Amino acid sequence: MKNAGLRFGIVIAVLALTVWLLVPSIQFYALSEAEQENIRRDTPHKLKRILNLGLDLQGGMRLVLEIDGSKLDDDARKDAIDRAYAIIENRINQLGVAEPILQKQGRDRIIVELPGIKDEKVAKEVIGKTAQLEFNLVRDDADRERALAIIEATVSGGKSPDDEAKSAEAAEAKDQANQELADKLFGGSDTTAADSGSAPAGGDDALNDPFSAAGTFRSLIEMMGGMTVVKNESRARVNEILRRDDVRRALDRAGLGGNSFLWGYEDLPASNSSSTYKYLYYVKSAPEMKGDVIKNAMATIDQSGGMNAGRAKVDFELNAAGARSFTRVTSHNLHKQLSIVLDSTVYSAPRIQSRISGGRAEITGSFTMEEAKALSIILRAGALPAPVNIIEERTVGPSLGQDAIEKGILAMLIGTALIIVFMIIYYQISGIIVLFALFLNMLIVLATMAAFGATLTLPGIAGLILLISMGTDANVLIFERIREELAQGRTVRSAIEQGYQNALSAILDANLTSIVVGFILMWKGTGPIRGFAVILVIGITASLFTALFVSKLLMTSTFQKRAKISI
Amino acid sequence: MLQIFKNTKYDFLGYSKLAIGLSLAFIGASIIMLILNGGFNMSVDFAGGTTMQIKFDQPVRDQLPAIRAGIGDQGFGQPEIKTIGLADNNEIQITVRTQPEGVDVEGAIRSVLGSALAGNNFTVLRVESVGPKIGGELTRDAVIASIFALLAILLYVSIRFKPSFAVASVIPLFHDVLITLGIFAIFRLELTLPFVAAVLTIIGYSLNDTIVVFDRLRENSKNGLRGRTFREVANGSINQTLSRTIITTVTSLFSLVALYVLGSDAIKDFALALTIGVVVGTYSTPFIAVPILEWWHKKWPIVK
Repeated sequence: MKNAGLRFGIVIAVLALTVWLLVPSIQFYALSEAEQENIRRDTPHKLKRILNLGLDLQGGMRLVLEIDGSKLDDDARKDAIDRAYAIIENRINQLGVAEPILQKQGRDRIIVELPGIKDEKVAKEVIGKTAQLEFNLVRDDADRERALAIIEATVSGGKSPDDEAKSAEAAEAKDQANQELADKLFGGSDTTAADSGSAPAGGDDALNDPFSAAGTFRSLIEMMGGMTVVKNESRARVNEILRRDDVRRALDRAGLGGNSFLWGYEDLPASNSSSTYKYLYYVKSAPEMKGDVIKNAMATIDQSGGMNAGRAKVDFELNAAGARSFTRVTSHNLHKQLSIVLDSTVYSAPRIQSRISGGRAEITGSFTMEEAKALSIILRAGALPAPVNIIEERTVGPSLGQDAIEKGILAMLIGTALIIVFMIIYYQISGIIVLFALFLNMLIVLATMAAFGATLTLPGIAGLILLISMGTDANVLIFERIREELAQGRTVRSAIEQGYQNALSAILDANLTSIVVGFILMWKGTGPIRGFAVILVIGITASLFTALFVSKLLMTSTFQKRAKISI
Repeated sequence: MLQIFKNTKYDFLGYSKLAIGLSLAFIGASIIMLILNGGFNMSVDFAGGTTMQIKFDQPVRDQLPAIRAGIGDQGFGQPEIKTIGLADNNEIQITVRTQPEGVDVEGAIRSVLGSALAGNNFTVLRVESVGPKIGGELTRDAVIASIFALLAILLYVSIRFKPSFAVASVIPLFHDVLITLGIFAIFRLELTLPFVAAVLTIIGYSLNDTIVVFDRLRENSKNGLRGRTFREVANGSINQTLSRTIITTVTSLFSLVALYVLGSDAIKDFALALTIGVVVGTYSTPFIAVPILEWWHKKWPIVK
């Protein structure tokens, strides 16, 4: 065979590539369930290169929601889906489910997939409830620092009013220092400088209490551009602390009871680490206005010729009642931040620049057009006029999914073992070559799926079974031909050559017909049909490569110089 | 060298009338059973409705009538209830066929179970709830995709072989799907969404099998029949590929039977459909596809 070295090089390269692509998946599934859960929650981006299991295999919930647009006029209907999407996305993020998938389908449907969800009843309630858009005042930095200091003191065990006062003072002093520093740095985010003051605040108590987690709370909260931020992976712990009864009581006693901590929507990248952050806002719990006062909101480009000229901004319009309250709110709270809160998530917190009357206002800032559009959708979302119905629900409990996987794997192992035994008995050394070709075939399919972060479902397994059959068939066709040629008295070398040549047309026609069908199903099919088709197309391409190239190479190089062939 | 078949000379086409007769009789019988059974046992995937699989802490066999009556009173028709698993009688599947838009059927069933069986806690293992509109769309999408796939097969085989081969390769596909559906109809097994994937797999398998034999037939008649009858050449082609057919079928059945015997409930019916399909798909090549070709050849000779 010509270029045998190059050919071996290609096979080894393909093998190495597939193994490399599959390593993340293997590492992930080797972890315990709890560790998998942590990765899903904290660093979901790591899952993009992993072969996922479908909801039918691993358990989870799938919902198809339909917006009932029958009562909407054409204009409202056009972006009803975007508004509903924004609301639902926000709610799902609050559920804290690992790797939620949201998809728009057509002009009035949204598909929600929540893998591995434990309580589907709560999920349904959260997703189905009516949207709450509110405008809440953001508290001063001093108030926020006081609250944080009180929480820190409570968490680390110091509960006496003295301690509280002390830490509040410390916080205030620190806040001042912090402010000065921030001014010097033009609002630069020197987190170490901002945080260094917090350690002594709880440090003394920590020494007295061996069980305290000194600095646990303050260390979770960092500063970025003068704003408090928290690493995404620490959010669950912060939530837990904020919900504690003793923390709430301490805040009440300090007169800070009417305020809440809310998360920002945006994911903020950090320059020095791979984790992302979210803003933590401290706002007055009672909203200044509700979302139903918004008449319209739109993203536009600033044409004013002022300092923001050419930048994207959001214009919004209020109804009469809204205009009145907005005038009142803006005149009383000049230069404060007014946060736009949808279902307890802060989407934006613009600073009130001037008293605004007349019911028209704009939000300016350094948005991109995309961000401005997203914000305008949120503003309109509060007044979503159409009900959203759940028209399809599929939930597979985690235990059932787990059971299905374990039984399925056992069955596959036994099926594979039988094929191995059969091939080796029937074709001997050539049988091992077929097995290697089939193995490589499966590796290529799984690696390709992993590389695209694709999902393996029950229909996908049907596709894999068909692939093993067709891959086996291609090799069996060749071997039976080689046997025929040997029976006619050909030499080993020419029998192998003729065997591959004569089996070629059957293999090509059988596989190409299936590929054609695969493409049609990818084009026309939906849901399970498409999942099946994708595997079929990838797999048959791989099957042609392994049967016509890999197994041929191995057969030729193993047997061409021998007088007898083990087949 | 181990060999299953060596130089066999079976007269497959001699049995074609018998085989076609048997297939037609079976399809006829399954249609009768289908009518007697009151149609297919369509899952809520296609028909719309809600299915819940529920596991109780204690056996519930004696309370089934109470559950049935309780859900019946909710105003979405009589539920179908069956026990699942063999041992404990504590796992049931409840199916309700009507799904009024905007009504929380699942919640209603949960509360009925909570009150009718107080003290016997339960876990919901699986819920499938499909609105009537979606069910219809799924069926329509599957049918449209299949029609396009069949047209593509007809076109490809016509170009690579001949139109006669194309027709003779597509008709057995209907045969295979009908027989599989027939067995599901007779035993009232549930037709679910994964069943659609199983049907596609059966089509793929059967087509592959047919194309391999047709390829051999094409090769053997490349230089004309040379004094042999078409039947001799066709029989010869089937016999020449017989070892390959049996080996491929047997190895395919290894995984499928293992899946059927060991697999979970969701996989069992799916593996059964595939197992039937592989057997029928193999059978249909010599007994349906090649006879159609022979019949065609008698009317309009394909090769001389």
